[in-house]
Amino acid sequence: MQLKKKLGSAALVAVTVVGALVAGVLPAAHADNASPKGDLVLVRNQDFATFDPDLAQNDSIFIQEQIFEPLFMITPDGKNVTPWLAKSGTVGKDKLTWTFKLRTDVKFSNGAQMTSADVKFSLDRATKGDGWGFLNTAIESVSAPSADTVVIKTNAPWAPLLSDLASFSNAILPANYGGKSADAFLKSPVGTGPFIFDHWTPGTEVKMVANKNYWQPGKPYLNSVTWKYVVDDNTRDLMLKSGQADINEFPPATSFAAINNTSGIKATAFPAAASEYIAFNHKVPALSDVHIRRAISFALDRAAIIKVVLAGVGTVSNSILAPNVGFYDATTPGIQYDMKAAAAELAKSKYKKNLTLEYLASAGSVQDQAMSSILQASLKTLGITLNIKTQEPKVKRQTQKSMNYQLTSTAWTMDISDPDELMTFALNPVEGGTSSFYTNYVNKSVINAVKRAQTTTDVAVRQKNYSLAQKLVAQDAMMMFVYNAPYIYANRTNITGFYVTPTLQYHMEDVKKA
Amino acid sequence: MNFLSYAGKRLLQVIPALFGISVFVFTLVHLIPGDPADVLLGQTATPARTKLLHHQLGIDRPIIVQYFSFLNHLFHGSLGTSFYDRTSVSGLIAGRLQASSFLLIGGIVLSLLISFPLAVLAASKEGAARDQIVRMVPIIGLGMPQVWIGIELILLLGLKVHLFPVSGFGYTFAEHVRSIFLPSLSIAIGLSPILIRSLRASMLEIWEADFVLTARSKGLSRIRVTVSHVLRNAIIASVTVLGVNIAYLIGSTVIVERVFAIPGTGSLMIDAIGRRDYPIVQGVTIFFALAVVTVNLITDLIHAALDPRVSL
Repeated sequence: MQLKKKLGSAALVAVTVVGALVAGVLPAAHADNASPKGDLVLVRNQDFATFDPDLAQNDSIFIQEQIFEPLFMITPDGKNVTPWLAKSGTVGKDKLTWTFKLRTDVKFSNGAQMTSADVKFSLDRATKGDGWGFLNTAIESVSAPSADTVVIKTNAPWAPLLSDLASFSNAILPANYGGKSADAFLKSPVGTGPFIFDHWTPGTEVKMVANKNYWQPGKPYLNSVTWKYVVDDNTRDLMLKSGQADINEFPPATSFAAINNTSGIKATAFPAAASEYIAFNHKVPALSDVHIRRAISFALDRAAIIKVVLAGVGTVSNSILAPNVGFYDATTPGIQYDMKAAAAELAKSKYKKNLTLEYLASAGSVQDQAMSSILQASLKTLGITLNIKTQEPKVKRQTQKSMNYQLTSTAWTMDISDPDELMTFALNPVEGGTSSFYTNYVNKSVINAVKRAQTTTDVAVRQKNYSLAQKLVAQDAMMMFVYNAPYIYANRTNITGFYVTPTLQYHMEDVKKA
Repeated sequence: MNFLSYAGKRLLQVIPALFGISVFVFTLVHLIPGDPADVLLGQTATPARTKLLHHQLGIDRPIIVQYFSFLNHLFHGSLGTSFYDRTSVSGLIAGRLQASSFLLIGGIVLSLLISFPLAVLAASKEGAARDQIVRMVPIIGLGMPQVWIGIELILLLGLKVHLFPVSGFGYTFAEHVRSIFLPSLSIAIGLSPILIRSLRASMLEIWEADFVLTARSKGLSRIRVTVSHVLRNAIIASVTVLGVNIAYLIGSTVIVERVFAIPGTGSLMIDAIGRRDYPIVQGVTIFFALAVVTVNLITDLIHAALDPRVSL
């Protein structure tokens, strides 16, 4: 990475964001790229779906990011952003008007210069989007006063703006799709990224080749990257071992040690901004009682779950935020396994006798099987009966969304570096739009703390409010914080430079194949 | 003329069958709980955005309206548009057909290459050691799940010996043939036992027939009697068995497709079910139904051509 100058916290946006160019670490101008070499094959169990940034999910995001790039990029630690297609961003004294200077050496892969018109078009499109447009709710207007200047006005002071702009959904596309229709463009997209779209065979693969107009001199190092869809875990593993694949995305955690004991391949656990939870439905009378929620939370043996599900490759969670998310507070009093404390909490509840609850599990999920059965055994010793109901994964999610459950597993992966997306989604029942992550949890003190953190640009104030929110949520046992698992990848040992950020950005421009 | 009339009648019978299948499939698909909008929008979807997408996909309309819309498209030669990648279902099926056809044909060819010699060998002397050994094949073959066979073949011939790729379909014809060998063999190991058993039993029965006795008493060699008289007549029964199994294979190669990462129609169907992509599920099912009916029709016609006693 050559663009390593960090902005500090996203909250530092109140001051001018000085581009890394000033610091002298960013390439000053485009230079002829060295000849890329090596054809890399990455196998994954997710089938690519779309080149539309507004509709992208994890199956498509990582692939899109090799073709489209945003103004700012999430830093390798996942907690901050750094200038990317923008050189700098400055907020005015009104705290509402942002001025961005663009790099002048960026070209789309078709050779056209990237200008502020492209940025305005892309941000307007993203803001109107039905998919991820909600990330831009604070953006009131975007204007392009000159070719290398963009001005964004927000409807309120908005601390997460740079993090929002670093989202894949705010990637820069050519204005008016370069003169094509949206459909035609999205079938053969053009971007500023290190790779150019080559072909997409649905259900099979997406291939991209090196962009020789890429603005980072000498990159990418690879000639091509092919993303192959291979459902079966064993087949992906065998493809890696046989050399038919170079990187295996998300092999099972239980294979971690075995991979590292095989010559020619290795497994790496990258830190993740992701959390695994068990949600309570607070509308269920017994679960509206904080003592019952706390008792159940105390009864969950998280270490045992990590051992079974992740073969030990993971850490016990103590907060709604994962440790790799900005403003995570390590001192958050997240409830941990303690059967004595569980019994004490249960004694304080009016539901302490003959309590029967139901855990909604996902069919075929090893993780759900482990979590539910370990919890079931613990609760039995407290006199609580936990029935386990299993549903097909998609059906289970529907049941969860319609809130016809009592306890169920749920998870979150950060899309942006700022905690605002999760904190609003999970803790503000109205503005988050999902009744607090489909739990019906309401705590006005938490809502206010999140709101204050969202609208102030003072880092200390933001930390204070996010810490308060984390503490209150933990004390309320809003959900059970179970574990934080890393992202596991396996690759052949001749592959170097491969890494993913905690928010799952793939920087394939840095990867080399010997 | 009889032949054409028979074929015509059989084709007409296909229409009500396909209509019945379309009603059944459409109803069944919509009875499955789950929401395509949920798959498309992901975890952060709010009820408002979900409702909007329901409208855009047309799944907020009454089920009967949706069915007639589906039928209308069908009569105009369209299987609709995928919810997930917004492309034509017919195009998606066509794109996957090549891999599935390779797999199916490869599986059948290898099955025949394995079955015929072994069945002839076994039937050449009932009860002999060779017969006993060959009779073990069906027991072993039927007892091994295709997934396990597939993985073992990959480990041995793909990973250790490097004779074949461990998965995928390749890009050129030669690569397709090479890529398809292991999955085809995996299918053949599952299919051959049935064919061996059927062919062996038929041959043994025919060996006892009067016309075979006559042929032998004329002094014809054992090989000539086997090939010209016994095998030809025994094939008639095996054609029916093969036809039924091909029809079964059309819809059931999905496991092999998954294990070997072959982008065929079976995988398309399974992915579509997971995503609640109704147009694809409906389209592929109609296609499978049509393929099964066609295979059955062809089987009957071949049967009739081989056996003059079969009345059209």
